[in-house]
Amino acid sequence: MVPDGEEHQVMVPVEGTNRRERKKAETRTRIIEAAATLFQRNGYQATSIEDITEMADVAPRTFYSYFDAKADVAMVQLDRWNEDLAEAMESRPPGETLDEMVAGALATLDDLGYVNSQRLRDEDGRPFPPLGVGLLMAETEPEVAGRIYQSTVRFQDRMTVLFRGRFGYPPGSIEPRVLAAALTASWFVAVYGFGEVAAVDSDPPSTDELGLQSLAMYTSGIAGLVERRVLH
Amino acid sequence: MTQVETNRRERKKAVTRARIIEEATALFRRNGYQSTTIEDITEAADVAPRTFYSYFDAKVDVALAQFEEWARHHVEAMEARPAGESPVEMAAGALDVLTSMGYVTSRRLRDENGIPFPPIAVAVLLSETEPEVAGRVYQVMVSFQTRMTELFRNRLGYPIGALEPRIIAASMTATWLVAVYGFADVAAGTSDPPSTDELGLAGLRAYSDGLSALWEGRLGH
Repeated sequence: MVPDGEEHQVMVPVEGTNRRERKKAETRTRIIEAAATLFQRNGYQATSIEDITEMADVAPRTFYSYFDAKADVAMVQLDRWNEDLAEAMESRPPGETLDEMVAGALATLDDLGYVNSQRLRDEDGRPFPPLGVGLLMAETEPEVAGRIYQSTVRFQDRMTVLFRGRFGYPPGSIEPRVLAAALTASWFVAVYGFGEVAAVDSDPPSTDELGLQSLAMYTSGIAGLVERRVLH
Repeated sequence: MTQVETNRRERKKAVTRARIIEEATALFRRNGYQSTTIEDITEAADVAPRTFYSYFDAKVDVALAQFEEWARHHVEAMEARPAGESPVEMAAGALDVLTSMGYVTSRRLRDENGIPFPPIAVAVLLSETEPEVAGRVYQVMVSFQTRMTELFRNRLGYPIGALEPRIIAASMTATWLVAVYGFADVAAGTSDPPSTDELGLAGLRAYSDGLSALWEGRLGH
């Protein structure tokens, strides 16, 4: 706590720079948070940059000194989620199976404040997907879809390296990639399966639950889903 | 105009289109996507610049043409499989159909120096650096997955809203990612890597039989 000294320290150039940088970081965070709230409440498409700057209490043109477009502020969130998930996976103790690692990592994300484990309901009690998922379901612009694809591929590459090390596979093995792609597939099920399930179920599971259900199926084998039904 | 003339014109159009795709692909690979202009493409394909626009709306469309066609043929081949097959049998059968159509994904391709290379569509290669191309690749992948979800729902008799068909469909997408991105993993450790079809089917069998087999006995690492 430096209640009095702080004002004077601003006069020192290097401190001034720090303060300015801190202020910039704060503004950026405020814009991201305002955008998150609005995307969540009104949907990505219906939210304008003016809505975001209004809520963040900054001038509209300030937005453009931090982000090039609305899609960038949305991608920041997805990238952050991806990064946090990758780190949480990498921090899991050795000896865990893939499904244990994922369950543990999702619990860590929950502690960090992500809401993907919750069954979200709006004020009228209607279920809605978490922000990133809603964005992915709604997004049709190739450029945003492209950023999503690229960050998915990067995440998968990182998981391939992790599983190669954890499960002791030699270079040239396909298995670590198969495991990593199963995470991508589970994530697809969580995102695109949510809409399907929510269309017929008034109390759909959370996206974390859907992803984990999917991973459990890959773990035990999808042949089990097929055998009883293949004669249709 | 007679039927013969119509057919000839259609055939000529198809040949021109294929030539544009082929020359564009060669230029993208050689000079990069960004530095290739539509004029470069029409010059190489020996057609007038405006001819390009009677086949494609933009440069990105020609990059995607092969990949979108492959995805469409793959979906159609899956949908044409006889009832009673498992997803692995359906996928293997569909890949045979693609091979008979002239796709080379089942082959262990080698360049002139004997170095293995994957038969990956130029659009997928470009997706690494070009967000717009990556976006269209993503959209093709998602719509492929949606059609597979419908197919498995009907084939396996799951009700609307059931998650299982989506889980099976997403394993097809994962298989495709394994084939495309796993090729480099495998090529890094062996001088004779399998074809992308072989890699994809290995992935799909693992999803079918269960992934737990892939870490059993390996948790001590």
